[in-house]
Formats: sequence, C-alpha cells, structure tokens
Amino acid sequence: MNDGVAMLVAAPFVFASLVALFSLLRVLFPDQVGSAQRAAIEMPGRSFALGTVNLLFLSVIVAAFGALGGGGAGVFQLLALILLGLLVIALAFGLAGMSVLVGERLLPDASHTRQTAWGAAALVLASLTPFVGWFGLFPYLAIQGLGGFLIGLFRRSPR
Amino acid sequence: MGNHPNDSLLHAYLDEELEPGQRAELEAHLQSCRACTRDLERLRQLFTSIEGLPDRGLTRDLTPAILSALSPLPPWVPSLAIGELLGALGIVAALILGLGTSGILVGLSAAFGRIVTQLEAAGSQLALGWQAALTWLRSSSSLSTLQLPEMASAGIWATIAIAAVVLWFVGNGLVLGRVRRRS
Repeated sequence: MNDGVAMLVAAPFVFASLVALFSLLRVLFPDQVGSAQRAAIEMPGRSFALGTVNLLFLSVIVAAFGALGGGGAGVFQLLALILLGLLVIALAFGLAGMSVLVGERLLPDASHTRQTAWGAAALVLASLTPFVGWFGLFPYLAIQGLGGFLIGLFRRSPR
Repeated sequence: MGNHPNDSLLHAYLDEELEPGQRAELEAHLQSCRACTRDLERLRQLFTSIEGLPDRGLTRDLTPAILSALSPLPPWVPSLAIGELLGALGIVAALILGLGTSGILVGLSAAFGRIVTQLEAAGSQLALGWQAALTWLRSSSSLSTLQLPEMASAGIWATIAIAAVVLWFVGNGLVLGRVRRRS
C-alpha cells in the first residue's frame, strides 16, 4: 500500500522531470536532437534496425562485462557501467528527438519550446499506457530514437 | 635608371611615396627623357581634374538593405576570467566537502555498489540457467550419450561478450555503411 502511494506521489515528478529533460536537451543540443529527429523521419527502417542492433547487443555486452567483473576484474565492471551510461545518454537524445517529432506534428504552428514540451508530455503519457505503452510504444520510440541519434552522429553533412 | 619608369612608379612619385634615392634617380631620368616627362605631366593633369570634380552623394541610402542582408551575429559568449574560474572551483570544492561530510557521497557510493551487485546477480542467474539446461539435456534419455562441453562461467561470459561485440560491429557496419553510401 505504501509503495503504491509512493509511486502515485512520485509519478508527477518523474513525468515533469522527463518533459523538462527532453525540452532541455533540445535547447542545449539542438543539432544532435534535430539530426536524430531527421534521421528517424527520413530513414525509419534503418533507424529501427540500428537501434535494435545497438540496444540488443550492448545490453548483452553490459551483462557479460558485469558478470565477468564479478570474478574480481573491476575493469569489466567499470566498462559495463561506462557502456550503460553511454547507452542511457544515447537513449535520452533519441527520445528527445522523438519528442520533437511528435510535438511538431501535434502543434505545427506552435513555438519550438511548446512543441518539444507537449511532444515530450504526449510521449511520456502514451508510454505509461498499460501493456501497449510499456511493451509496445515505448520500446518502439526508444529504439527508433536511439537509431536516429546514431545515424545522425555518423551521417556526413553535405558540403 | 636605365629603363623608363612604369605607371606605378610615376604614381608613387606624384604621391610623394618614393625613397629619396629613387626620387633623385627618377628626376634625373625625367630631365633627359621627354616621353616620360610627357607621361608624368599627363598623369598630373588627370589627378588634378579628378580632385576638381564636385562631391556628389548617392541618390539613395544603401545602409538598410546591406544590414538586412547580413547574417545575425553569433550570441556573445562571455569568457571566464581567472578570478571567476577560481571562484567557481572553490564553490565546487566546498560543495564536495559538504556533501562528503553530510554522507550524501556515502549514499551515492552505496547505490553504485548495489548496481554492481545487481549486475553480478543477473550474470550469476544466467550462468545457473545454463547449468540447469545442461543438466536437463543430459538427463533426457535420447541425449544421455551426448557430450556437452563443460565451461567455466567466466569462459561462457567471455564467449558471449566476444560474440556480442562481433555481432555489434557487424550489425552497425551493415546499417551505417548503407547510410553513408546513401548520403
């Protein structure tokens, strides 16, 4: 009972912090978030494939390094934590890009800040939908955003 | 001065920009060369007529059109002075000392340790699952004669890690290679 009440109390704060995080990432790193958004729009299939490859195999690598580190090799634990941190950061940028995409389509005439904030709010709320959001929409958005962010990192800009 | 002076030299002479030695040499040449003297006089008359032309302003002001066509200046980014940088470092050091004495850093390191422990537990669970699968396969009557390799858990994880890294590189290379070719 206490856990449920605690979750109910924490939920609005988590929601607000995620919206603020995605909005701030767009403000502080507009090029990176914009390239993630563009890649997700222009190459949705390849974004999804790249996101799947990276999320799947990096998770396995992190688990393997973590297990290897349990035998006393602290360097593997450190590598596992570094990889996990990089993966989380890339996911954050990817989800920020998806928030911008959703916001631009929901509110095409609004300012950039409002688009990003409302897009992030829609993304987070929809991802909280039981089962469909948890196991369908959120993984799709996360993988698509991750792949778009990685494509945006490596795609050469036209001269 | 053996050769005749060129136009740039004559211009420099009229603008009084020649060195004393060059000026004397040119004047000595002009005393003996009527063609160069004629050229010099023609240039002098040209400059005099140009200077005598009246000043006329532009029919319209081009300033607004030029300013509007210019791209906006990048936002001014203040550079940190040494004093400000030292002050910021001092604040950060005070925060770290304060956090350390208040035990927040202890709590953070404990949380870090719990994450590491959970990663180890996940790895141990998967290793136990592999052992259970091996045991089940051996116990099956049709597979009782099958010899399965006994691997230490570290070996299993090392193999999984190497395979995952190789597949990660291959997967990224396949997708990103097409992205670069398309770009």
